[in-house]
Amino acid sequence: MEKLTITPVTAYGAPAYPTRGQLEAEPAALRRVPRRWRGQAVVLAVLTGAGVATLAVGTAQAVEKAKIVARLAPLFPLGVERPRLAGDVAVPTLLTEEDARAIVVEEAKKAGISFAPDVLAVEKVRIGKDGNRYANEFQQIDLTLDGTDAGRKIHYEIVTEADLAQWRGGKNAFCISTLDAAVTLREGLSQKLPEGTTVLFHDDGAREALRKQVQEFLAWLKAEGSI
Amino acid sequence: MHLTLHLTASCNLRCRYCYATGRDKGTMTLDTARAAIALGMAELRKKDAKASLGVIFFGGEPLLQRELIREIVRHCRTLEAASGQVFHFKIITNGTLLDEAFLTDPDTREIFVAFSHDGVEAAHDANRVDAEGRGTFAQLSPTMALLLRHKPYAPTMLVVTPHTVRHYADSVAYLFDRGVRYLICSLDYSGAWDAATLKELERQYKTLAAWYARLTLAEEKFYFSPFEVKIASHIYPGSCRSDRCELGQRQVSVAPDGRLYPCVQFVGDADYGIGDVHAGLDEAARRRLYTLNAEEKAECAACAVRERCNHFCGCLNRQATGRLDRVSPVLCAHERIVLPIADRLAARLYQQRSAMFIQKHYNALFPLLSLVEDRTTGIGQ
Repeated sequence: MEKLTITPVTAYGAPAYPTRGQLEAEPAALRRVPRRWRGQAVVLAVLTGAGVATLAVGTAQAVEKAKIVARLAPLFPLGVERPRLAGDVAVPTLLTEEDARAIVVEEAKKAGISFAPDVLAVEKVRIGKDGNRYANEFQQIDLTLDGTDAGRKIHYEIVTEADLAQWRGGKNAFCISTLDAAVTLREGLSQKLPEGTTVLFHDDGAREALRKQVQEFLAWLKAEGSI
Repeated sequence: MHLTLHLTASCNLRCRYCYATGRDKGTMTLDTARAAIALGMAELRKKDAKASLGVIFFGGEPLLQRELIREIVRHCRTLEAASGQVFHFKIITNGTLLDEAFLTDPDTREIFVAFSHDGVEAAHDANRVDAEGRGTFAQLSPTMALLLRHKPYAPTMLVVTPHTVRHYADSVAYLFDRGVRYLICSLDYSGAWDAATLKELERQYKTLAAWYARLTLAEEKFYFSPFEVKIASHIYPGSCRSDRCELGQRQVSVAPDGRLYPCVQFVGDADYGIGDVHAGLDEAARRRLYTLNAEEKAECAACAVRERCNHFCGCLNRQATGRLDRVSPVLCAHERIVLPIADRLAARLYQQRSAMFIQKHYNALFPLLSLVEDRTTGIGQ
């Protein structure tokens, strides 16, 4: 019989659901009331009394829509099922900025979202140095979001190798993943949110994976009642 | 703070994965129990005088000492009236001696009951056998119904071994279908796990993730410990560390002879003694074990998920490796299997905006809300 050994996980993507602290940027989520509680006056009174919910049963989504001024969608990292283990060092070939944008625009169009490029700029976004989410030092960047649907007030930014290189002053960016960079960018953007819904994607080199990220974002928007 | 009173070393079962070493002997006297409770109260006063002192009845099989349990509860109630010290009680039993009388007796009916059951008959009877080697599944079937009728929130503790892992998902579903809503599941970390059984474990967890998602989307309320703990470790960063028992800091195990140990799995092992009920806690010994356990394990220092991992549970490590500071490879394998499955499950439920998932995992008032719902709908009356 083979001997089991301790095997440290060398990399693990950020889970695609928020921490309690991150959820505070999205208070509408906590106002979601299970169907089984909707006829329960006492339960709703406790919820309301606790300041967790102020919605009238049956009008929940309308209230949530009205309250949305600026929000960040969660990240939709793929591949979290398999943590990378020691010795797993393959470096993916990343997409170009243009290719990545084209995929996002194409997928979004299927849901009726029409992104115009480079419409909205956000100044002085604080991110980890060189786009490193684990860095103890920070830098500020001026970010022009990759696309905006002005009518629906939906904006996206896809973090690519080109973005990483720009944030690092042209230096090689292979040692930092685009997902990690998206995490630190998301934290920075949460302090500088434009009106509407902003989502961050990341390029990990697989066209289908990026397509899936966009599809998951669209499913999220649908679940939110936003499209 | 909790005192775990090992009322007796005797047990009427011979579970094949039992970690009891046989080094602890005899039955606790009422005087020893009283001294333990006095010690617990004194310790609690140093930290939080208003806190409730938990008294856990443990064994062997604690229901072999039913009269002692009643006397201890009465003693605590007397102390409550005299000193204002609040107590709460829990018993961990194999269920074979549980009956209506215990669940309704004025002295014992308030005791929180947790019982051990391994699920479907093939899994349960593979390990949970009596002194003659006979399975106890059939015997426990009516007992489970009785217990849940009186205590619908009673947790059930299920142990998964390499031999029974193929029944894991079926066992969890079976217990849920019987009405169990709090499922505390653990591996037999000392078992002979290998690549094949770990692969099967992964397959079972994937099946359980689908089961969990289906029930959550149907807005069922339940607790399945392997997923809940891992999801919480992301939602509340640092919770995995802060929730640990801290070896002798938050709970102390009291052997039948009155000697003190930092956890149930150490009882009877002199190397891990931290005092006795009469002389008090040996702070130096307690601190030594705590410090040894708290040190980051060298082999885990570079692990990306160490903050979400249970590798600092000295009790499990000792059970598997013989040393509390040496991490169990089985535990490591289990964490690497369950963590990504739990994360993917949670991500899916969050992205679907499952109201039950969000309330259960993000709203600190969920237990209260759930209780209010149950009370207004007649559950748990």
